[in-house]
Formats: sequence, structure tokens, C-alpha cells
Amino acid sequence: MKISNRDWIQLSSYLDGELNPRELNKIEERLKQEPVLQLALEEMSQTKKTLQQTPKLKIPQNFILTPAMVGGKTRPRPARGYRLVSALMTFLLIGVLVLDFGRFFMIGAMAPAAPKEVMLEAVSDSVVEALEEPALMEAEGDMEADRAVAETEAGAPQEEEAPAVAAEAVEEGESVGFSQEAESKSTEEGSTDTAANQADEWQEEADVEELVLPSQTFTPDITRTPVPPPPTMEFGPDEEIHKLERIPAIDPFRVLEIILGFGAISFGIATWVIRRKRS
Amino acid sequence: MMDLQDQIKKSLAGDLESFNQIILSFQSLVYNQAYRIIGEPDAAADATQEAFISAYKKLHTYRGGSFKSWLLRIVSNACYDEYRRRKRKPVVPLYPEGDDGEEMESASWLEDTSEKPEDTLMRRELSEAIQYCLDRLEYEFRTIVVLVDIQGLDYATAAEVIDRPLGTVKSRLARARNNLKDCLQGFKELLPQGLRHVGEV
Repeated sequence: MKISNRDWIQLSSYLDGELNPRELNKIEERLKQEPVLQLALEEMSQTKKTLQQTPKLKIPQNFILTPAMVGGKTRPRPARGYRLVSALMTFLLIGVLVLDFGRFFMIGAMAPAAPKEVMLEAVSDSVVEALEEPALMEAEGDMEADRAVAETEAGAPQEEEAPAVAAEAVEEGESVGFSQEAESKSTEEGSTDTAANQADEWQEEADVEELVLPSQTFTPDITRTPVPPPPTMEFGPDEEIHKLERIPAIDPFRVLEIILGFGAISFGIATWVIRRKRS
Repeated sequence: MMDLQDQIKKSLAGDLESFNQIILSFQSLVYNQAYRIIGEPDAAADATQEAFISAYKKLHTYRGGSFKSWLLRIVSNACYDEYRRRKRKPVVPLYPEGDDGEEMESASWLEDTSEKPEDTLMRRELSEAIQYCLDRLEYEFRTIVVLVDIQGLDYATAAEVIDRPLGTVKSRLARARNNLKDCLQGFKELLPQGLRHVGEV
């Protein structure tokens, strides 16, 4: 019959008189009925007696204290303090590094875009201006061409283009009837009208056409008021720009990392040296 | 001769000599406790010294009651610190080196030389056998069995010293005794005549 752990605990407690009355009665009854339990108790009792006879050892020295031993200053407090400071600085360094890397990953991605935007802002006006200049010139050119056309048309009407322009320009209203009339008239080469009448008619036609020139539909204001060139950003000479770039920027994170790293290593070494000396 | 309580009061007032009187009264108990737990004389001496220094500094935390159990609690903590420190370092041999540079085979440097040679031999062998078996127990089991069976504390005081519940003390003590019984069986020829049937049941 195997004795359970619980039985061993009961026997051990019974041996030391640490059982309550109910447990005591129970174990005593079992001891009467179970010889295996009784023998186990005997074994444990002998073990206890053996341990109780353990010889007392002579002390190798007296352990009386001297004032230096309890003086506080002689205790290994500095090593503990250094170790604590070193650990603290290491934790802070890790924290700063994490923040620094976080900043790098979060803002670092945006950092290259910022200068580009600034540069674009700086040059946008001039670039837009430069881009718009040809258009303005084109528009002015159109305007002049329109004027020339109008003048030539007024002076010497072209038989083929004038009606077409008139048809484009005047689509509704009374002018339609007029243009149709003009068209019909222009097709009659060999008519009996006088040259003066024709000139008058073409003059009227040209007047109508002046109202709907193509250039007027494109940029009507340009024809009236010339747009002054917008102010352009004045860039300094290259040397000045490079001088600005060369100004060293002190990153507080770098400074903290250097200070904490140096401190952690220094205090760690100091702790190691002190402990090594003591041991 | 001053009473223990008077010595404690004077020590609290900063009288180191009074505390040294207390040390002289308890140093054998403390050293034996430390030696049986750690198993190495040098480490036990270090732990004992540390325990007395700590006791002097923490004397204001003593609130009356058994001074012995209060002191043993401090010793147990000092032993645990020393035990952990020794575990991190290379093992120091149990037996010191003799003049010829070889390890001495027994802890004879700790023996009482006033005994008869036969008694000295018997004590040494018994001490070695018990220490051998104690060293094979886990640290907490060893501490409990030393407190109860060697120092003679009751369960409640032992539980207070190691800061564990009473049930833990009961179960660990039973297991420790059971393991010691099996271990001591191998040394039965070394045990005193009346104890040689240990483990035969």
C-alpha cells in the first residue's frame, strides 16, 4: 500500500504535534488499523531524531560589529546607486531612441516633401508667369491679327472669308438676314451695283464683324488693359543659399541620446569596477 | 548581566557594545543556521556577518516577540542573498585546501578538538552525511527543515520566518523529511546506533 502525499503531511504534522484534535483522532485511528502508516511514522520519527542530533559547528570567528561596519559610508551604497542610475539612463536612452525612430518614420516620410513645397511656392509665381507669357503674347498676337483682318476686311473685303466669319459671328437676330443678304450679294459678281455701294455694304459688314472677333472671346480684357508682369521672387546669390544650408542644426534628440548613452556606459563601468574591487 | 530587552533598547540608542553582546549570544545559532542552509563555511560566515549588520540597522523594525525568530528571518534573507550571489560565481570548494594544496576531506577545521577522537569522527561523519543530504534539497525545503528540525522552531514561527503560509510549511517539511529519509538510508552505517534503521521500513 502506497502512502499518499497527504498522509505524509499528516504524519509529519502528527510527529510535531501540529494537528488539531479532529485530525489527531482521525490519524490515530488509522495508525491503529494500518501498519504501513505506522512504519512510515516510525521512519519519519527516526529521520527527525537524526536531524535533531546534527552537531553544532564551532563558529570560525566572532561576528561582533565595528563602527566602520555599520557606518553607512562603508557600505556598498555607491555601487547600488551607480547601478540604479545606469539602469535608469539606459531605460531613458531606449525611450529617447524609440521616440527618435518614431519621429523619423512618421515625419521623415513627409520631410522630403516639405522643401519641395516651399520651392514650388517660391517659384510658382514666376513659373506660372513664364508659362502664361506665351499665351499672353499669343493673345496679343491674335488681337493684332484680328485688327489687321478687320482693317483689311474693312478696306478690301475678301469674298470667301468674310461671309464665313459673319456666319460664325452672327447666328441670331437681324444680322442673320443681313449676312444672308451679303452672301447673296457677294455671289453676284457681275451685278450692276456701283463700287461705292459695295464699299458701303462691306464697311457695314466689317462693323458687324468687329463685335465678334475670335480674340475677343479668348481674352477680352487683355485687349483693353495690358497686364503688368507679376512680381517675381528675388533669389539671393547661390553662395548665400549654401551658407544658410551649412548652418549646423542641433537636434535635441541627438544631444539627449549622446548624454544618456555616455552616462549609462560611464555609470555601468563605474559599477563594474566597484563590484570587481570588492569581490 | 543585562537583559536582552535592555540590550536591544541600548542598541537602538546607538550603543554598539550592547548589540555586540547580543551578537555573542546568538552568533552560534546564526552561523549554524547559515551553514546548514548554504553548505559552505565561507559563505555562511559572510551571510552571518551581513545578517548581524542588517539586524543592527533594522533593529527599529523589531516589534517585540521572539527575538530569535526575528533574527532568524534576517539570517534567512541574508542566506538567500548569499546563496544567489554564490550561484552566479564559480563554486567555492566545500573543503579548504591543506598545506599540501590538496582539498581537506572533511570539515575538520570546524571541529571541537577537545572531544575524544572517536566522538570527533562520529560527529564529523554524521555532520557530513546530514549536510550532504540537505544540499540535495531545494533551497526552500532545506530552509524549512533546518528551521524546524535543527533549530527547533514550531510551524507558526517557521512560517513567519520564511514568510510563507502554514500549509506550505507543513507540506514542504513533509516532503523534505521524506527525501532526507531516502538520502540518509545511504549513510546508515554512519548514523548513531539507535538511528541505523532509518529507511529500512
